[in-house]
Amino acid sequence: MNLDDELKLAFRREEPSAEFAERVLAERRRGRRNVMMRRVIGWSMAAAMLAAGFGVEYRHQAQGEAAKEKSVLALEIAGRQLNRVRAKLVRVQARNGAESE
Amino acid sequence: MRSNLVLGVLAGACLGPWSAWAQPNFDFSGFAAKAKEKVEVRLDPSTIRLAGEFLSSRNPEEERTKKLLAGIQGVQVNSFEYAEKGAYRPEDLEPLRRQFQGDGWARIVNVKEQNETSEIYVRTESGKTTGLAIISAEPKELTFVYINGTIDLAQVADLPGKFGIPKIPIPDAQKQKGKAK
Repeated sequence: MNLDDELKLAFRREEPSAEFAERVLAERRRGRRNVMMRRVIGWSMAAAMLAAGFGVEYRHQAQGEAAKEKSVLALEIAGRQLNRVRAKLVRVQARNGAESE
Repeated sequence: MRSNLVLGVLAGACLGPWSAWAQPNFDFSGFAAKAKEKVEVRLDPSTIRLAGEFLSSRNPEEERTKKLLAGIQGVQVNSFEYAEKGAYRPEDLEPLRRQFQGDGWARIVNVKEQNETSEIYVRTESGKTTGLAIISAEPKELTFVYINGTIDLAQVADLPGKFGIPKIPIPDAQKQKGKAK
């Protein structure tokens, strides 16, 4: 066979099988489903992260307020005790001062 | 006045075997068990830092508290109120007192009145003082306060009354003298 005949043979038209069109359409449908699935998953993850972010922020707020209250309470008690001791000191010093006069 | 001098003692550096936040090694559970009321607060550095974030600079009182907290690494308060006298033994406080002996600690106030003792310990280094401990032992009430960090005692003493806890009025020394006569 010469080159021309070989080329004609190689490039001759061949009719596709009966289910070829169906296979192509099915593959196209599958591709579209995958794209949609990826979009749904992506948006779901974004929504979940947003909700988690709000949850974390709320917890941080609650913890911060609790820490603030505890700190104020502790310092107030410390201040109160300092004043109590100071008041006692004044009383005792006054008493000692009066007794020595 | 000596009491003013006491309250004027300030600031310091944290030294000795105690780390930046090292609370006293003392178990208060025995004292707590018999208390009819108790307040126990423990603030570590992260809690204090968080509290500072939430104290508003727009509120003058909160701003003062925020500045006070800025130098503090830790706070511990144990306060117990008892229904009856004799619920605890004063000698059981000796191990606690021993923790404030040495390593820069000094007792600057020791007041004894009838059955009550009140002590203030401060820790100093290089002219600065960081570290305050108050032990107030009364027949029906026991309070321990420990603050680790740079602190202004006068500002602490001025805090009560600002956030709802009533202030203890300091008696006038001259009037007390007159009464004592």
